[in-house]
Amino acid sequence: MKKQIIKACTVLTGTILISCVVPYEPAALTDREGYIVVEGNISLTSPFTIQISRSAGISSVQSGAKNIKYERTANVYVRDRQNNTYAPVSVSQFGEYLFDFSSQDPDPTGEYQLVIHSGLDGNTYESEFEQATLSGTMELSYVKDETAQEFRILVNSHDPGKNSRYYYWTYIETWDYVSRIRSDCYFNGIKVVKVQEPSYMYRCWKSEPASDILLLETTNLSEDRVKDFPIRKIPYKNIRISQHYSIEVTQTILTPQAYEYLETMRKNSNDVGDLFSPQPNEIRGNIRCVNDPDAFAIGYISVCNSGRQRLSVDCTELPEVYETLLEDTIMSLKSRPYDLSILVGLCYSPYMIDEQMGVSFWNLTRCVDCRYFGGEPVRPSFWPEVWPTY
Amino acid sequence: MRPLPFLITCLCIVCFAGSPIPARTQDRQDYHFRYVTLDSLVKVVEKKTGYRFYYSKNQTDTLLLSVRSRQEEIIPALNRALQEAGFFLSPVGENGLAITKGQGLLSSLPSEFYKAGEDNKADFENGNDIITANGSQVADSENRLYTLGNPEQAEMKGSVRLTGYIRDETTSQPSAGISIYTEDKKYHAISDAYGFYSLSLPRGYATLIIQGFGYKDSHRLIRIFSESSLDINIAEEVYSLSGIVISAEKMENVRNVQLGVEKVRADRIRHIPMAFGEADIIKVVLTLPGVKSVGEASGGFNVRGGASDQNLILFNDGTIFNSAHLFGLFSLFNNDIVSSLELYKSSIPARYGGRISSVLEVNSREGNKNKITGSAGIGLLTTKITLEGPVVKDKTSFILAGRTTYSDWLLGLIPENSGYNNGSANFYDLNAGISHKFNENNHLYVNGYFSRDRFSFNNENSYAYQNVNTSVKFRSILSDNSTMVLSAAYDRYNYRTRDTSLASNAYDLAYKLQQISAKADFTTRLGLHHKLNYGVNAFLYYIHPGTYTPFGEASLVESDILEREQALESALYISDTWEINPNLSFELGLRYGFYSALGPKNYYLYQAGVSRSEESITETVNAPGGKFIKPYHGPELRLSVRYAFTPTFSLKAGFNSMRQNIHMLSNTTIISPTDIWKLSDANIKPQQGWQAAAGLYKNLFDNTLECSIEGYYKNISDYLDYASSAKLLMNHHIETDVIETQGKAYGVEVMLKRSLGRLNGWLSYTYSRTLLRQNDPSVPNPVNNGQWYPAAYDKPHDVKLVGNFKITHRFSFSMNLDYSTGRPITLPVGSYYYSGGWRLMYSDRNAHRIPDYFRMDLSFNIEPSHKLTLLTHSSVTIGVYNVTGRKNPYSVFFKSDGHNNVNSYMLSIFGCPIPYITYNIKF
Repeated sequence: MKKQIIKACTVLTGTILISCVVPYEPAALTDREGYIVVEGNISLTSPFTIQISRSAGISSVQSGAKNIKYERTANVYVRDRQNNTYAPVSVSQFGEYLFDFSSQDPDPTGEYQLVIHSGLDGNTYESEFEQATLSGTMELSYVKDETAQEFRILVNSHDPGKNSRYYYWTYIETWDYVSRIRSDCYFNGIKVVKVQEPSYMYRCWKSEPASDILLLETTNLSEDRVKDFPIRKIPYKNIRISQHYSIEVTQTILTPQAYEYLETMRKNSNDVGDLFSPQPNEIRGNIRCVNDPDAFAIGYISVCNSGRQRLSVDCTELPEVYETLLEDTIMSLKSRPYDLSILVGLCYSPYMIDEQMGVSFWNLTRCVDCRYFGGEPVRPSFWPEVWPTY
Repeated sequence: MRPLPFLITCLCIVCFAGSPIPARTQDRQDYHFRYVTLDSLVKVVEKKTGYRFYYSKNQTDTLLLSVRSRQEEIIPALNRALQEAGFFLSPVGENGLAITKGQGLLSSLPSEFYKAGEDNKADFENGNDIITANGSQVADSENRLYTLGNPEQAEMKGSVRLTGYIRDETTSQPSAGISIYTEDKKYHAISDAYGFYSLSLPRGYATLIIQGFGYKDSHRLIRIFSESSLDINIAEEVYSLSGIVISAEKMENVRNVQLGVEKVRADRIRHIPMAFGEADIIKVVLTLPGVKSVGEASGGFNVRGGASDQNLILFNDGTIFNSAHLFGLFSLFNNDIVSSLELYKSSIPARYGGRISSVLEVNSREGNKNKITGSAGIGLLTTKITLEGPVVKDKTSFILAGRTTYSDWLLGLIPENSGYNNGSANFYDLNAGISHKFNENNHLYVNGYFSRDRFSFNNENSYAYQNVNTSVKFRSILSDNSTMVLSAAYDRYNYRTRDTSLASNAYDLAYKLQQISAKADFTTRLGLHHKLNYGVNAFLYYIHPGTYTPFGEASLVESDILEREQALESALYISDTWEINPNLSFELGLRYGFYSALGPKNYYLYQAGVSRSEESITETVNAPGGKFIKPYHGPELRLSVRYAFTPTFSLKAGFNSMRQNIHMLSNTTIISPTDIWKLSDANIKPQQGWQAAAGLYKNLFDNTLECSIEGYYKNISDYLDYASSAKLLMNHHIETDVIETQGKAYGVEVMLKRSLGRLNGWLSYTYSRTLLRQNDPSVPNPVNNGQWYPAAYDKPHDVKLVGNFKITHRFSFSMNLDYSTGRPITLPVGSYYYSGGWRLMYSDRNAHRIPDYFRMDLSFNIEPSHKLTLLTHSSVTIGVYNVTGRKNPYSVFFKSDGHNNVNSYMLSIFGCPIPYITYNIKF
């Protein structure tokens, strides 16, 4: 409600008032680090992961350090009112504890909590007992908006029983893209040679999770319905919709308290810096420390059976945007490795060999090798069969 | 006899003179004087004839007369002899004869001596001629001696009172704030908003000095015997430069019993450089010591550590709830119609109540009663026009003013892909006033104000708000000693926001607040030492806290309407300005307030001892219409004392306690478009505060430099602050989301001010702290664990300089300089990865400060040419706001930009120098 007004107001005042937002480093920051961060929701009907990490101080993050301290050695399990415990199946290197006890037919009306015995600080944390919420139905669709030059993924959900009300979405989007120039050779350190297999430098896939916290409540509506909510807006010139795009959306129904927690977290991180920003403030999640009441834990563990949907869109008919190509750089096949490696250092890659003329053609790596943009030439398992493999 | 008083006596007496030299019976005797002095001759003649002679010894010292006549002809003979010597003999009264050199005395009144319409009664008695005037004399001349009152009372002891009106000579409009005082500066009065003054002074002769900003200094000679009245017309100052002119305001500093009162003239407002050249009263108020704001876009202001909603803003006796247009960029008040501005920071007179920090009273002026005039102005962003004139000459006048902005062109400059360049933002406001004079004693004033702001962006969000203020005021002079003012006002503030970004969720949210008030105020002078001010106020509030309705056909929004709130607030007050002697005065005021929310209303009651939440509701109460839901009442003390050691040095101290029943709820730092006002009720108590202050005031260099130092301590309780993640809009139990907070503020203000002269302005330094604390034990997670934390407008050091230098009559140069410590902000203490991105962790509220604030503005004013015969007069102001271009930070914040980066930024509002030019024309 208020957020749109506030954002809009800021732009107006920002422009009229010739305001500036400049990078700035405040001195004398206080650092509090090492708090336990627990993310994930318990699901009774499907596998789920709980990820445990530790918070960082503000100075280190500000200076660009991106290391997340995962906690892999905690003793984590789910417990119900009857004291049955469910242990995780595995732990990943990213502190993700994978659970799956759907096969054990857990009681859908029961209450469950998460228990963590941390090896790092020796504390025991427990979430509050929560009852499972149902996921509700969800449909995904997309729309291409020519006027705004935007591609939008829309969510439609409806709960006739009016129980859902608080919606939270996360997604993972996967897309493939191709390099400008199809290359069939590479520089092996000594000379330019042809690739052995079908080119792995032409088509790459990349995945990214949602970075925004997506929330919507329908308490003010006459029906419990989400209609055409734009969960993702991609401008036309974005690499994601250059070839094929696939998005998997997970819809979680939250309790009012869980919703409030996530909404506050979102406001504290995203709705800041505007003229009318509310003062940031903290609220506690539902995890408390059993042995030390003053210890602080971040996160809210809900119990819900999230629903998942995938939408895949072939975007090849959308207008393409190409960078202008530079002229090719032509090197002799007999060039010294040293000279060729200099070219590589300048971000050039070979793409074609002409044996007859005894030369290799080079151009910018970004135009030749799709891996330059961080993708990998590995086709995901869910990729539709009809779409090209390479 | 001393020459001057003698001469004056002669002049007075001759005014009343009437008859020609009468014939008198005399004893038969012949006179033969040879070269005798007048003294001797007079002694003889007086004894023999019974006449009395009046003459100046100085003039007649060297006179030697030779007169020879028969007894019955002595007077004509003397007359001839005197004439030969160059003297005149004139009859004075029945028995008197005056001997004057050079010319005779008039023996009858000039026909135009008294103005038409005045009632005069001449009473001759025993040689003492008296005139008792029933109406006021109008004193236009500096050279005449005005005799006032009943001369029979000439020998009585004690002081007498002189009252009357001071008016502008040309327009007949009353002049407020004009100082009138005796030459020895011991007795002093100031004209009020109606031009009315009341001065007590000893009987006898006096020279009254009349001074006011914008007017020529003048004086009047009077001889006052008893209570009387005298109206004075004063002339506008055309050349106000060369030499140093003493102004009325300077005396104010030392003489006024009240502490912490700031008055600003409308003229001065134009000269202070402003952003975009928009003269803004609120921004002028911000240049006064003790007044701060949280940032440049803030429409509100904070006085001595009080929150923005703790200021009572009165415009013609109507209350203003939202004090700015368009986020504080443009002033709510049209500068052209404002006559004066008074800010009470410390001693708040008992007649004001309802807010605990300050009272800002702005009055519009009456229309010109003599001819139709007007003015117009064009600026970068706004245009305004004013028209005023008489409806019935000298009786009724009107004034109309309008203002609008056309900032759409700026919005069109925004890049297209931001999506906001199709937006529009505008406001307009209208002022109308009529003043009517029934007779000298009864006046009626009707004023209205209407403003509307509207802005919308790319068809997705739009927002509009309106202010309506109407008031009627009737002022009557009941007797020589007492005045009555009756007034009634209706004020309304409402806004509507509309969001159509998601069709199925499109809504309209509306809020409305209405206030109806009635006031009766009486001022009575008891004797010479007491001035009583008493009266009663009543307010009726109606608030529609939120009306949430769907907008558009596709909207699934369910209507939700919060129940209307209403309340009754009333107060009785009495205050006495007690002048024990010219050095020591007290102002003792008591105000007793009564407040209650009224039914019909359904409200919740909560469990005691636990913080209010939905879970702790114990019952729902249905109060029927008209029932007093929860009355609150209590006294408020308004005390101040002034002791003047010398006429230029005084000490003042004061204590005030205040109550406030209506609160503004906001969880943003500055006043935002969706802030709401909430009435106290069964769950929310009124706020209370008290302030103790003391100060020293000294005028130096013959009253040209005013210095003052004032310190204060303030305590606030039950101030409403919001709980973490409070939902303040459309909240059916908003009392669960607000927390009562305690506050304290203290500080010292030092000020140097030079009001007139070539170089004028003021320089002030303030040290102040404002701290808040949530110390309610039932609150589970109080802010900062229940410790004291600085408020958002806590800026310990503050230096302000406002200066104006007149190069010539037409050209002047103004400078404004502002330095203050940065305001507190909340910065994160940690960061964690959650839901795909870096999130920020905050801890103590307001534990850090943004960098200090410094800004300097300059402007150059070209005044109208002083040819009085031109049809129109135009003035131009050219200036630069923020000359140094310092990017004064408004806030510092951290933001995560997606997956991996948390960056810190500084937001400044005016980040570079902004030049402007405005053009005003008067016709």
